[in-house]
Amino acid sequence: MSVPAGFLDDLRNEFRVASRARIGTMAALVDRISRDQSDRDSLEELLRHFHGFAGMGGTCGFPRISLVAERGEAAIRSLVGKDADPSPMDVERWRSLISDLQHELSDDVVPAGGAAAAPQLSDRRLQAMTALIVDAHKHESAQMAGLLEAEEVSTRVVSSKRAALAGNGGTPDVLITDARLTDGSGYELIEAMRKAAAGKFLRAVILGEAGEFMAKVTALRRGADAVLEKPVDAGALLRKVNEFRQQKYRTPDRVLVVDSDAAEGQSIRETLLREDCEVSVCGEPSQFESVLCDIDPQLVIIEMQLAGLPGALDLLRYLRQSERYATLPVILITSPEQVGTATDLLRSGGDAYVVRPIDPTWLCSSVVARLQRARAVRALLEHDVLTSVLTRPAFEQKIAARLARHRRAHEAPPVLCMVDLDEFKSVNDRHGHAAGDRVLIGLAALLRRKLRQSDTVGRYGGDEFMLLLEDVDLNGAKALIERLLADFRAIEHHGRNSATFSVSCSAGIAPLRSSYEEAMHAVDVALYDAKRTGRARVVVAA
Amino acid sequence: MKVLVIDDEEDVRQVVRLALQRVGGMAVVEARNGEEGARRAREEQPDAILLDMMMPEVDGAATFQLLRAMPETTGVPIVFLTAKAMSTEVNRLKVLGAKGVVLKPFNPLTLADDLRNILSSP
Repeated sequence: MSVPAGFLDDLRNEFRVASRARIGTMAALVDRISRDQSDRDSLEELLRHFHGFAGMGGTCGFPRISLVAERGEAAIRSLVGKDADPSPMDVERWRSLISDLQHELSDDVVPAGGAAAAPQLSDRRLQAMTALIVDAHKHESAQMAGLLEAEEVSTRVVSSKRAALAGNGGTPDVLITDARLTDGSGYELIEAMRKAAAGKFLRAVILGEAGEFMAKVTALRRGADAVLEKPVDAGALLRKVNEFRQQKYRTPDRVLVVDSDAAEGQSIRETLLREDCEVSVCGEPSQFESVLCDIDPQLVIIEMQLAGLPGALDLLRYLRQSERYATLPVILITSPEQVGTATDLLRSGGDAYVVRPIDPTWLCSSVVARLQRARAVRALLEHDVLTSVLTRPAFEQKIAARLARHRRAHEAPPVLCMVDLDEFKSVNDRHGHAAGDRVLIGLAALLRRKLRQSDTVGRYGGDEFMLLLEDVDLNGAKALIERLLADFRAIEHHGRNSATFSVSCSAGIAPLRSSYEEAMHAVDVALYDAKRTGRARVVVAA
Repeated sequence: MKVLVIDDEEDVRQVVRLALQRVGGMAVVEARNGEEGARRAREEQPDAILLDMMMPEVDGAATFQLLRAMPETTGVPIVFLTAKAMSTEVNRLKVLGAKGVVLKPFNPLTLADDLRNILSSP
């Protein structure tokens, strides 16, 4: 049996075309359901569409579409099973999933060595949010609004409680309010807005009283999700808003189950699908390391009765001795007679154990709580405090994982790129460090906004950013980065005394084949060339 | 080898047809639902039937019973096409008499071979 040439490409292309229409239909169905929550017919039709995507995405070359659609399907089945009407939050989740599906279809994969259409700058990496700032101090409000707008948060500013509640435009995703308003307290505003929101996503930040612990406790009890002291730390505000963004657009958590019993693995998979987890089952413990690299799970479940080597204890020890996985939550599955050993394993680094027969509710609670905390810890550890991109160690870990991952035949190698701000020192000297920081934040935000979910951005040094780009060849990458840098150069930054200025960047590009050191060296040389030949340009390694 | 594929979704039928014809060199007949499937099965006498589990109105399980009940089709091996999340049904289906199961999303390059393997297993 030979594979006819172009067979897979044909499948992909036809799927892409047919899917566009389907997605349009799904969006219309969601609109209909949001207007009438009791519309069962539309709900069932929407379910069929998700089911259709789940079943065919992977077959036609879009495995992520199957995964995304599966979640939509599971969510709706769960509603139907409980005979419940969808809530506004359900509707938002579906819209987000449909948008994900659309995104997965929108970028053309450039085949290796083929004529490259430069990939589109996809405005999807930072999902849109809306914010309402309620504060009488105009200058501060304007500054906060500026920061948020740059991070793809569409922001409105008002100065009183009445103006906030009078708002047309619906509930914002994030409400940022002074504790003391001219016509009332920020807490009253939060309470009123939550009532009006009626279950829709809403996070509230109180700006206010410095210091007082009990004041903060009171704020949280009265409905605030976060308390920030004034004068507001820009970085803290942005990090908090991005945390809210993660909560609103939750990507599914990845769970790895190591279990030689396929039926048990499958059963766990189905239980956790309800909690929006992507579960992979590894039946061969000897493959653990490579599966870990491939999946990069946020939580691992290990069955204790693994026969032979490596056993559960071996896997635990391996995890805990590695820098990368030391904080990874691990849940063990044990039979009643092995509970003593399970308790011992807690000492070796297990977080908890579940005793068979596995109670699905218990499993879900243990997993969800730990995933949330692990996410928060990981975010803090892995992201640069100022710019919110990955730190250098986290970026390098991603590179290592990428290199270790099995590459599909004919897949283009990812592209490594170093972006370096030109003459950054003089920006700091002439306009001050605060302006310099804003430039860095601005570049990072642009990169995060314009690159795709599959691309990785890290902060390498003071004014250097590293990018790892997938599904693009060298020419396509060059065109992409050139466009990005042109966009950045066009930005007017504000310095001291109403001065404005712009900043350019140079960049070096090289393919990441099998060695990070080699690729880095090539990128360095290319970047040096760019600087040497006049800056504000992109050079591809020879 | 002639295969009858019964699935309510056109894109599924199309991809299955492409996979079985272009890659596997098989002849493919299509039907959109259980009733049409039963009729085509009688008419075409396929060597195997690939049957989708989830169909509106007359679903896969009901169609299965229908095919089993008709003397003209009772001997034709039936392979179910079903999504992963419902694979706990697999054993139940085999006990009922299905020859095997293909999970969705399936690999279009290996579908023909997988089908042959299922059909030739005891």
